Amino acid sequence: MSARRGGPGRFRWPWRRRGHIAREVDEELAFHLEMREKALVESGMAPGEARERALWEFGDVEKVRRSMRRTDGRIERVRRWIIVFEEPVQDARFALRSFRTDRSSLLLVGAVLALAIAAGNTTFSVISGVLLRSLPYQEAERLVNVRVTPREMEYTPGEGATLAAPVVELASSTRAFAGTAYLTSNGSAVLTGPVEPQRVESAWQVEPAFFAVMGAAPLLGRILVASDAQEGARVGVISHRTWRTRLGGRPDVLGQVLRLDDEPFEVVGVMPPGFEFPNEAEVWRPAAPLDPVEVASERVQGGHWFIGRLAEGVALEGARGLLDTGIGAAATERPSLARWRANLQPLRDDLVGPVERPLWLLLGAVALVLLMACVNVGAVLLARGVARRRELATRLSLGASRARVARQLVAESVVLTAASGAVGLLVTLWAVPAVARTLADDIPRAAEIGIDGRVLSVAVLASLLTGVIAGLLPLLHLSLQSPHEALKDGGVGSGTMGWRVRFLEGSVALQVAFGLVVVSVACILLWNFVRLTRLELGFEADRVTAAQIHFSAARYASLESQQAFLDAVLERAKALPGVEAAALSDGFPFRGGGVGTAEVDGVSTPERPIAVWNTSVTPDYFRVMGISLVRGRLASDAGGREAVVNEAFVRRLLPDGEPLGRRFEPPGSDELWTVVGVVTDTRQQDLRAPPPPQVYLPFTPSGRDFTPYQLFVRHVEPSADAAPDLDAVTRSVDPTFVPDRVVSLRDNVFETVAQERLYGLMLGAFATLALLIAALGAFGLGNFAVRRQTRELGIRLALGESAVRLQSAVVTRLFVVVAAGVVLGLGVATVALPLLRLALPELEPWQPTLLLLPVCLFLVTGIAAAIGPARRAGRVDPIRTLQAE
Amino acid sequence: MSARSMELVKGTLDVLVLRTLAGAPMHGYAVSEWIRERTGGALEVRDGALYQALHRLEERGWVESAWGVSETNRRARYYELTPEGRAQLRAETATWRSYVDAVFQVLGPPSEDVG
Repeated sequence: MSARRGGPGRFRWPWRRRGHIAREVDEELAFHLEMREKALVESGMAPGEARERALWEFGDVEKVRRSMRRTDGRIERVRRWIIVFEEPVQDARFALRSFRTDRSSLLLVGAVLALAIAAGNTTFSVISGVLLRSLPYQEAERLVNVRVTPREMEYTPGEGATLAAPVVELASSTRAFAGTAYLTSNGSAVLTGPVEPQRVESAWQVEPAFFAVMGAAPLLGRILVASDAQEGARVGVISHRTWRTRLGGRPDVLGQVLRLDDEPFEVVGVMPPGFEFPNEAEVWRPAAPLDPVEVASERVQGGHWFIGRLAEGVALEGARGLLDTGIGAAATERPSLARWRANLQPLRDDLVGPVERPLWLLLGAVALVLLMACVNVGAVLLARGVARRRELATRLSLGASRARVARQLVAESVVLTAASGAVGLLVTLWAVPAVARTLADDIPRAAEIGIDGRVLSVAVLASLLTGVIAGLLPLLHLSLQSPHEALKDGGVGSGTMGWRVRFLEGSVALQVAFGLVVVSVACILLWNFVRLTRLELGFEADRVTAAQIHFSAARYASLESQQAFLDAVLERAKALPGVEAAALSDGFPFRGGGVGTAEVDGVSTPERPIAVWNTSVTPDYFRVMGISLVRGRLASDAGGREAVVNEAFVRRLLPDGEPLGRRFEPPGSDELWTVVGVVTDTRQQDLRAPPPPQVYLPFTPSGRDFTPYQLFVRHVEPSADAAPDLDAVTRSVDPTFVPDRVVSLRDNVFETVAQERLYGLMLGAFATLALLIAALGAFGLGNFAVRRQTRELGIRLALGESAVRLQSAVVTRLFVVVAAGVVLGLGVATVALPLLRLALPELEPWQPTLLLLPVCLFLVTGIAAAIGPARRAGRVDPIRTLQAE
Repeated sequence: MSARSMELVKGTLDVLVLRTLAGAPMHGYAVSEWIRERTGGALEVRDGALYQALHRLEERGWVESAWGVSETNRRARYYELTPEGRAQLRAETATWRSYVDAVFQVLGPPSEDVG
């Protein structure tokens, strides 16, 4: 018969429209009537009569026509249903069945793809939470942080929170802002009242306008109002978290009187959950209006925020211009103002600016890894397609349409990538909360990391994209192959296969190249982290613990009472078992301290000041910290105005002549002090910066507000947990004293490189995955090449070639491919790696030697991946393979 | 051969059509011709009912249709038994045979003329 055959292999374009169905029914009926009429005429009937007869035999044509159309319409609907819902399921099941061959390699590439997808999803969830989600304040993009810096100083965004009172006044009066507010930190304070005494780390005094500027409304009670500040009302607003955790969420919280460092205040409001600006704030109390004396002094202070809400229609640049113009105008009356420059920064940038570029860098790296995994899956499917070419060709020649076979191949990649995507998503669901917890202390806004609609949709989109990329490769194979060619060709081998092998080789080289870039970046970042941790600190951090001592102003009002408490604590700390030495200070490396300008005649003058660190210490401080005295002696006592300086101080400020006996004005002092000793340098605050000039003055309680003192102990044994002992010491001197933070110096130093460690570790994980993927790719290629050449290998073995020679040929070939990838990767790396400093400006200048390790890793991986295939090549049985043909 | 045509017992047409298609795919006109020849016109089968039956059978999944080219080089809709249709044919044939056997058990063997 001449009709095209139906059957499951035939691809039929599914969408027949109603008109189409009607025409088909008409055509079928017309055909029947004409055929019958013709037959009747041939049997001798007159044409007209034959027509009548045919119609009579048929019955009610119109009725039948309508009924047939209805039936066909129903058939069509069912068919569409099948095509849309059932056939894909069939395809998927067929794909799953076909996965039985190559199960282990498919499982492996699928698992790796799932890991890569999970890594991508997780990284994106971090970016989404930290960078993309807008701050949880009303019209948050209009909120800016206002800072002033001396004009001659380079301004580093996000650093050096400084504020000069006159500029605050000025800014409040320009039309740049719809509102402004300044905030002053109370530092760490002790909360008492109807609760156990406990430390509150983030308490603030704010201008009442603060809440309006932030666009925040209270959950309970009210926010602060202008009259609170003017009348010095003892009221405060607390955060939701504080209400819940510290006050047990009691409903009668409004009207409660709490005490912060013994100062009572009445709780008048509770803010809604999530409002904890700034720095996870717990308590906001009214700040007094700016003191005119303070305004006149132009003192630059730390511990402040000055925020503004840009006026409607005013852009950031415009506001900056207005503020600068304002400063300029005011400077005609007060020339000293002219040295200030206004820096405005969106609040969001201020919070997340430092992590923004590194996070995008991580996403870029993970994207490369994901791309590698896609190419890897695609290559495996392509290799399978080649191995199954006879099966596919047979199906094509048996009438299966190309589209149908293509659908089958796409179904395989879709099933594989969809399964990987699903597994990847499961891993993501597990990983994101874990990562958010891990990052909590290391990056800003970590609490906002989570899985939301955006993360989910990007995850699904990424999975689909991987499916498309991975699915295209095998299709390429199909489009270039005719069934004739595939059937004629014995099975494996011969020239027409060449491009596919080269294609696979190219994909492996590409994977190696991408992998090399990722691993190189990881090496550079990890090296950067290791380098930072191995820098000479200038002090011994391992066995030293510091306990912060923060006096409540009410209880320890006089300096004498503070001194007495500190002396007693120091004595008892020294007597603790296992303690080698103990000391007091008002600051220590990596936990801040005083910075100011020292004045030395001719070198550091008020016009050209040099910043120095200023710490007051008890004599044993140097022993505790392992800082050695290089010249001279230690200061005798507070009365003698004798100072110890470090070597950096001597280099910068006293470069000529003998430093001992020289006199200078230390920061915050108008008197001349004499240098009596020089000690070794220590790094301060920033591992990346060289040790700064430093002045050590004899320890006395300074009475400065909110300056915590530090008690240091040096233990005989490392890693002793000193916190309970030190808490006990302070409590034994004053039972009402609420212990503050106790930190080991080592932890404290490492906190400052937490982000470097984070980037290094995450990239390290990505790099491991990249290496694994590249190894899998190379291994798969080697196996494929050996399988493809089985006949050739068999012949060569039969002709007496040694197995070792064949094996080394396999290894060499694979090595060449990997080496080509390495060269390509090196090319990319040379261009791309210097750009890393855009993301991490403090990176060391890029060193080519850092690429040595990644290159070796990949070359070794290439050889290792070749071992399996090479052994397979050596085991080829010439007789069997030749017979098999 | 009786000149009188008989009303078709309900449901019989379907099994006749299935049987007709058991040999090879055919278009509707060929099916009607085949039945006409086989029965000598004894069964009164309206062609319209036949076409309705073909489409009904297709809806049930017992036959499949596709457009092909007829022996006179015209486009025609061909019908073909599906595996399910074949099974259905077997089942219905068996039912018919046992039904006819049972009827003849009462009426006497089919060869005897009872008229």
